Amino acid sequence: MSTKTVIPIGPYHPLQEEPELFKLYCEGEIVRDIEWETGYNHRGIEKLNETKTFDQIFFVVERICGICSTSHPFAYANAMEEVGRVEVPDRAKYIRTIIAELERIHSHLLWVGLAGHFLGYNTVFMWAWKYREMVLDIFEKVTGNRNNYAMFRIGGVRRDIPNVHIDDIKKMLDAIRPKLDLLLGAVLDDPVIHARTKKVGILTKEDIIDYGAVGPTARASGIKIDVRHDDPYAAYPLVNWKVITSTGCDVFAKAEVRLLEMYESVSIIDQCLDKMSLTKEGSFYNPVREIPAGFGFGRAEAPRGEVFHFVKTDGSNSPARHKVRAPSYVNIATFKKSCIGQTISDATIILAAVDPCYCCTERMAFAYDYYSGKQIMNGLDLIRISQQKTKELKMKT
Amino acid sequence: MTAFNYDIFPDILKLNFDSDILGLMVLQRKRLVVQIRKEALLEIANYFLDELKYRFIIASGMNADYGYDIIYHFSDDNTGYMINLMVSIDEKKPEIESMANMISAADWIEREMHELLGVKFINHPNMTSFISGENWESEEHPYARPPRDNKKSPRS
Repeated sequence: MSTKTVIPIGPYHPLQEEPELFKLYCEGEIVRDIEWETGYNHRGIEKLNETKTFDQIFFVVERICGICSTSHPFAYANAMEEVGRVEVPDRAKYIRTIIAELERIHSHLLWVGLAGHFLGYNTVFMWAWKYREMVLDIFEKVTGNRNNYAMFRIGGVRRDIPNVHIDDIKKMLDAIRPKLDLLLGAVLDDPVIHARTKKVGILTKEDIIDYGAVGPTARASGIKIDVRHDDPYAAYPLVNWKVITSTGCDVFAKAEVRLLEMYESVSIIDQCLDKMSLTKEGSFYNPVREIPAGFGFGRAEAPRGEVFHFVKTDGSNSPARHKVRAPSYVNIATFKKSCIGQTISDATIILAAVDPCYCCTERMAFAYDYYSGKQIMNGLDLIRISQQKTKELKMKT
Repeated sequence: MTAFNYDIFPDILKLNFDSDILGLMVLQRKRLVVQIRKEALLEIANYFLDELKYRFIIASGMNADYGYDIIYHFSDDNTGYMINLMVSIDEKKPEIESMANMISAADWIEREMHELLGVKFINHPNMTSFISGENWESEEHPYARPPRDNKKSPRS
């Protein structure tokens, strides 16, 4: 290609999927301002995709997020099937939905574990991640991979889930329900967690609308938006489920929404398995010969919210333009509203509440003195003081 | 809010904005692309955001033969419709009014488009570097279209 492509490669943790540098400006204990820098890991995926064929792009977009690796292929497939006016067989719709919902469960469990860790509940962290393994084992069984499942293609899925695996998945669902009850009870009934998360990191409805926030972040502020419900795709209109919302607007509400959503995911998978068993095995994709010139707007509800893919095609076998918007792009910007005015010991859990792939962030959140600009704490210190606050609350109760 | 009647959508747009609408494409599955004059962007976007209560999803900037195209994507979450406002920008004067003062969600993406494509967003409240950091020449825009005589080579 003659196009000159220069890609800035960032210095911070290039192996992480969403590195950002948060600078919290503090006055005493209170956060007065927040700044962030991003782009350290800009991989130029949108530009790169202009040099890939439509089929190769699935493997690229799957690697945008390391946790929810199906949400981007899902949105991309929706966009391409819109341009190509491609029909997807029912069995593929069920398989896509099952994979996406299994992923939602393991992503939310990961979040519950991390949130527990930041609050000083390391047992919750270990439980949640242990139960997450059950989901990953199923992924390994039905797709061959614990993550990056490579299941999607235009017109359907790459491989079938044979009916003999239905029982394995159902057994896992039966086994995970009591574990979800355990986690739900541990979070919703604990007075210390209430004290640490209620009325903390408030995001009002107006804030959500202004920043265009999506997913559990929006639903926890009473805004009932969910692409699966609003703009139904795959098998979501074929099964019964409900959109979980809360009016708390705080960190607790976000935890509540995610915990309850996992039950919905279990129910969706259960129904999809039953309905999938009635379809013909082996009929899991429709061949696609060519994609005409046009526009495709695809979206899918990832565990963190709406993933949006825009594809402009020109009749060739690769896109003329491919735009990707991950949910964290709009959710992270809300920190300007949720963090300012809060104590620094709550900052960690507020930043974690929108689930911004926190493994990157914890190493790079710094606290600065509001007046001198001098760095006073790093990410590990922030987690330490957050855990310390929980410890003190536990001793009081 | 009651669901918007999309059957009469083109008529309503024409009634309200008339000459600012340059074209309208109705794609399948609840997708509409409206080509508008770039001078009318804020007025029409305000109509969608304030009156119809649409959600701003994101904007996609891209190169075109005459300069740049920017598509502003809006979602009607009540019905699942997606309205896409498309503006064309001449390469001789690559600038457009910023939407970031109207809605904070446009802040980051406008800074990103400025850095990558070189489109200037007039009256943006904070046009600082966003993804390129401080180690990047501000006049270099890596995704900007190459000079016109270097036409895109055919794909293999």
